Amino acid sequence: MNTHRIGVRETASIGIIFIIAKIFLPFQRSLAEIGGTAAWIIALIAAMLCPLTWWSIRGVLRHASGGSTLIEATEEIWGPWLGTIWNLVYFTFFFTITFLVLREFSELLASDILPRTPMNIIMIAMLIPIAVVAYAGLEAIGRFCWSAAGLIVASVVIVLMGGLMTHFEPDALLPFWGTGRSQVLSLGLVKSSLFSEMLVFGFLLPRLRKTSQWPKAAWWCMSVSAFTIFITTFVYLFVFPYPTAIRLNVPMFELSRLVIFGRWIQRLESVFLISWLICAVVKLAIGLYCSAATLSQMMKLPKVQPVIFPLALLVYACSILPGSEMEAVLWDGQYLRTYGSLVSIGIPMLTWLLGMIKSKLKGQQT
Amino acid sequence: MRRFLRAMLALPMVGLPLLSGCWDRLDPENMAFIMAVGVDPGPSSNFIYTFAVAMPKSSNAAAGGDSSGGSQEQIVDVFSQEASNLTAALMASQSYVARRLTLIHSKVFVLGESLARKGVMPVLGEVVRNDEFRRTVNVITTKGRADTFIHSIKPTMEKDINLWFELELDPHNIGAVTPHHSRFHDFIVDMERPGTGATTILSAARPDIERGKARIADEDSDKKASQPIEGDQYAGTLHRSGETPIDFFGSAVYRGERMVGFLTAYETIMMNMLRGEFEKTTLEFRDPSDEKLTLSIIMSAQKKPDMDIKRNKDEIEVSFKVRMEGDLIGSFSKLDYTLPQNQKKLETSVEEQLRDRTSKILDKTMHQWSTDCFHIGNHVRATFPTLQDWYAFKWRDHIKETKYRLDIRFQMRRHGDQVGPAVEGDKMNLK
Repeated sequence: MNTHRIGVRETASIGIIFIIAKIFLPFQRSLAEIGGTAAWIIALIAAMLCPLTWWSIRGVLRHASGGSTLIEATEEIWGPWLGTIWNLVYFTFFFTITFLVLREFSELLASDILPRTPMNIIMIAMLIPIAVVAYAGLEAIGRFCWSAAGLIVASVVIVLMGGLMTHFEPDALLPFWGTGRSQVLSLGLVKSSLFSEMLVFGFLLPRLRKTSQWPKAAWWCMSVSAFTIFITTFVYLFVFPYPTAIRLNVPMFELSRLVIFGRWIQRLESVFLISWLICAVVKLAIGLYCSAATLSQMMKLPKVQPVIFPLALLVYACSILPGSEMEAVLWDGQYLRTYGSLVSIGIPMLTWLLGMIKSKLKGQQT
Repeated sequence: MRRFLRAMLALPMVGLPLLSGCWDRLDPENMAFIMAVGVDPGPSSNFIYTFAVAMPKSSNAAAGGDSSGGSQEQIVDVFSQEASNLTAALMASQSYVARRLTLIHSKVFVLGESLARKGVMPVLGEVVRNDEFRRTVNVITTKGRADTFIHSIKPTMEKDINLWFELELDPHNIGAVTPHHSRFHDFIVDMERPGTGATTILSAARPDIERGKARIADEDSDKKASQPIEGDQYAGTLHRSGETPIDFFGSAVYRGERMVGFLTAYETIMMNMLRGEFEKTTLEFRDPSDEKLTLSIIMSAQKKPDMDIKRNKDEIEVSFKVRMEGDLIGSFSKLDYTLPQNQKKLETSVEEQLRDRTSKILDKTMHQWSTDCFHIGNHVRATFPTLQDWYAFKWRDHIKETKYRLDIRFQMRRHGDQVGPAVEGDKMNLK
């Protein structure tokens, strides 16, 4: 089988888009709800814990056969039974991200952009390009991400600057500890789930040509993602100070709607929406690909493609499970973004630990 | 054959995303763009919503061709609807408005005076949820009823209602006599914070101007009267005749969700100055050489003012450090203010008058109305470690006892196109 290779830039871009796409959802609002004026501290702590995922994935891959993905390595280290259970957890994680984010983006479009369009048409209209992009494979996804990442990050920065110039509240980050020091610090640890999508590196790292490229790709991804997530939260609090910050449905969208300079520069949200929707489609394509890759590797299939379209149907079916927009956001905040770090940090760390023990025992025997 | 079948299968897959925009297509010819929304209290715990819809140019042309007698072309269509909320009002209005009503281009949200005094949060809370309503819409509080105000929207110089609103509501354009930030976003953000006094543009309809009954008083009967300062008036009391029968002058101040009073244009400019939002404008002052006369200075801020807070438990002292500069642009005085000793006299007098005016507005808003229009609360909040401590402090209850100190300096920079005063030839004395 011909394994397609990707470069450092493509790898980092895939990781960046997979992680930062959540800034277009109500993530800043949920941080402001729990942290108040200290929401930025939660984002900062979560960013500082992000390297744990990278180190544990690297550790797992180093203790498995060369060229193995995270899924293959997990099964190799844990054995067929326990390994499959953990891989099922990984699959559930990627699958949940995909269908929940699809639902949330569709709700965003339905409430603000296309209010008269039926929800299922919006979801199918998004799902078709997602499935096609995922079907094209990781190399195509990587190239697409590399070309789109700059545009997306640039549009975010422009919107943030425009928002700040339109409305800026001094002292918006004070009181410093927001809802309380112990709450903010503990939630910072819990919300390390914001970077759980780093788990995609379990599929990306084996595709790099050299092992020496791994740290470069990972650190670029973590730096840009952490910066983007932090800066959007930070600026959001200045433009929409507490308690207004906890009331908005889609923070970045409202920020883009607020931008107004005189008569000529206003109503820019439709321009930014294009790049943000591209980001959403790419993120969901990566999520679908990871789910399909996990499943195909668990089932020892030679190719990922046959699983893509059936999984896409399953994603559609599951995305209509939440009864409302509020329920979808609740599932995302209460489950995915609370327990996600157990999957992205906990399981790889355990696997790495077991891999180290097994290697040492093997070394002693020989 | 296989390729052909694959292509046929791909067609619906490609076609469906392209059709997803069909439901929400917006045809401008089928839309009625609401430019202004006014709200007054209704008869049964509900509201009366008045809408000003931009008149489509094609309808205007058809109407203009039939009219005779040179009547003014109608650029807005105004109607009112009684309803419990804005969405219900729009739905009911749709029964008699052929085009689809939309708020996507609305410019102004007008609150009637009686509604403003009762409390506006229910109205704002409902409107802010509407996906078509933008937070960049300007909020205006009008004296009297909002429907009267909207019926008075009859621009004389503009045919484009959108342009007229944008020019009228831009503080940069209208001499900074209104709050610098009066958008819905600023209004609701201020209202949602404890103790803060939200402000809006103050306006008033002028039925006397519309009926042609407004007349500026003739030659003064009292020759000993001081020259009045125009900025010390409210919207609705400007001595004028002609032009659009609407005044935008001054601001309305809210304590929480209820309007508590008005500020004159001058007071509004002082408020903007203390907030760090001073827009270059002309200010009138009493002439130090003759108190009956006024002089005009084009004033601008040298830099943003410094606001310093000192909190000792419940005692708060705020100090403002303001640095202004200006060009002397109008003077009746025979004194030559370009000479150093006279310039110093003018600067000292202007500083005193600015201090006096800012003291008055601080006393009026903070000590009399118990409302913080200067975002002092933002700085006080910084002295607390957590939000719980800040909210427990109850800033509103401490505003009345807050002390203030003012350090205002003014420097005259230029003197216009005349160096000394114009003097009648027979009275000139060359020594």
